[in-house]
Amino acid sequence: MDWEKLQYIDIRILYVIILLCMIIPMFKPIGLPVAISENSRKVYEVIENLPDGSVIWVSHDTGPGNAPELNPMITALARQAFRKNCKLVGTAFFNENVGPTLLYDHINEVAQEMGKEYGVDWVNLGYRINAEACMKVMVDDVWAGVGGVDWTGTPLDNFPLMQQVRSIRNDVDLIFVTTVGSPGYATWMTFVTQPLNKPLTGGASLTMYSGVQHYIRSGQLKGFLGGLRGAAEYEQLVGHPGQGLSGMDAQSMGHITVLVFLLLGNIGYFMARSKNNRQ
Amino acid sequence: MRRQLPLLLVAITAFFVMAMKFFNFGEVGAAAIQEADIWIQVTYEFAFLLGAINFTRLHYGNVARKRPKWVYSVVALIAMVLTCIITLVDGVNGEIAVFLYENVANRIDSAIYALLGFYVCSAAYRSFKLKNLEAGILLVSAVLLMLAQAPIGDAIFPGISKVGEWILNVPNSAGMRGIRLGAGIGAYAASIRVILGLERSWTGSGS
Repeated sequence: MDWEKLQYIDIRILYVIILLCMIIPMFKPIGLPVAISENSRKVYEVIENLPDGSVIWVSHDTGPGNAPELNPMITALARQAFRKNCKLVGTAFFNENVGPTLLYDHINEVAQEMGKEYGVDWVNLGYRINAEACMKVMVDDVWAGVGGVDWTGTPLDNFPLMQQVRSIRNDVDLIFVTTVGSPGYATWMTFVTQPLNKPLTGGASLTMYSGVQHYIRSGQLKGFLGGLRGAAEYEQLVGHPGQGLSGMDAQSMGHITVLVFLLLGNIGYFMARSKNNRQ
Repeated sequence: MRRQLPLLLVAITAFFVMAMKFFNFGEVGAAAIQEADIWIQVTYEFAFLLGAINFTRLHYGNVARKRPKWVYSVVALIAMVLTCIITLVDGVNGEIAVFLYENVANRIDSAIYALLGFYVCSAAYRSFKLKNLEAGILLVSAVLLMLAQAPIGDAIFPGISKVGEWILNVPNSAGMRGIRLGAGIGAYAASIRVILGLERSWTGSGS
């Protein structure tokens, strides 16, 4: 057998196999258990340790590409927060359309299920241009920062919750941010949570996750969820399996396929090298 | 004067903001900073206009001079003009404008991001070869993290997710801290050069 060819398998074959390995588990789940990481547990605990009725600021700073990884985090957060009668105030700084819409859809779904009312238990302030300046204004005056309206343009006077939330400095207990880039957790950290000494937690797409670890170690982030795996762990902690856990089998099969191809590529490489050495 | 004025404006603004931040001017200082933040927001809006003008100039140039792949520039220009007209007529939250954004822009974004997954797989297959010690370290770390990030890793090698956590928490954190510190110091140095007028390439006049 010509082992060297293992290095040069037609890449289209890899693509088809990867696609099949990702799709099949979605229809035929394996249901492998997911171990809980320390960082995910910290996220759950920092929210669980808040007094009942606290105000959590949630910023869904995502774009369309990463949304499937981060949406389950918002759903699980809403479930945990509403269970503790916490209030949610939402923004979305990364994408003007996807962030606010997905934030609304995912919180609204849980709110309907748990009997929570828009304007009383949660509000979506939506997207505002120039996150840094907006955050700095909202530190002392949330209403001025968002122009006095929510994401649909409804005046904030209409919402009882917003009578209570006038400034992040005095009225918000924790900030939960999903992150795919900038603006994201680093912007919140620089302009809001570090100057005000407020706890910051949330989740990042897996590609960004390695970049947040040193902030978790320094205590600037109170744990952080990493990609779909982090979302799945958080869902498990909240006790309500959702999209995160259902995507884990596809992730498992995808990773295994890549590892198999890595192995084949390296076998081919070593066979070719030993053949060259012999010659 | 065309060269000096922007430099002067940058220096004055930078020193003003720094003075407001580093010294306590009481309520006047706080009000000034708040006002400056609003100015930043307004300036930002102008940057978008500038972006649109630059975009049009670049792509119009490609089409007029029939540069390679100029057809794509035609598509880009048509897309921008159409979107602008529809949004101006229909409103930012208008039905057609939102439909276009959600069903064209967002879908393209999602599709491109999803394609990245396939590219990463093929890149890993082609390039992750155990050629030397450095490549070996990279390969072993990648394999461990891929196994650690998927539940099947723990099913095959129980406890491997803890190894993945350690890699992220210790060697990765150490590396990232070094990178962040280096980038931070570099950004400070570059900013000081801009404020003092030593770095002038942003004015279009070279350094």
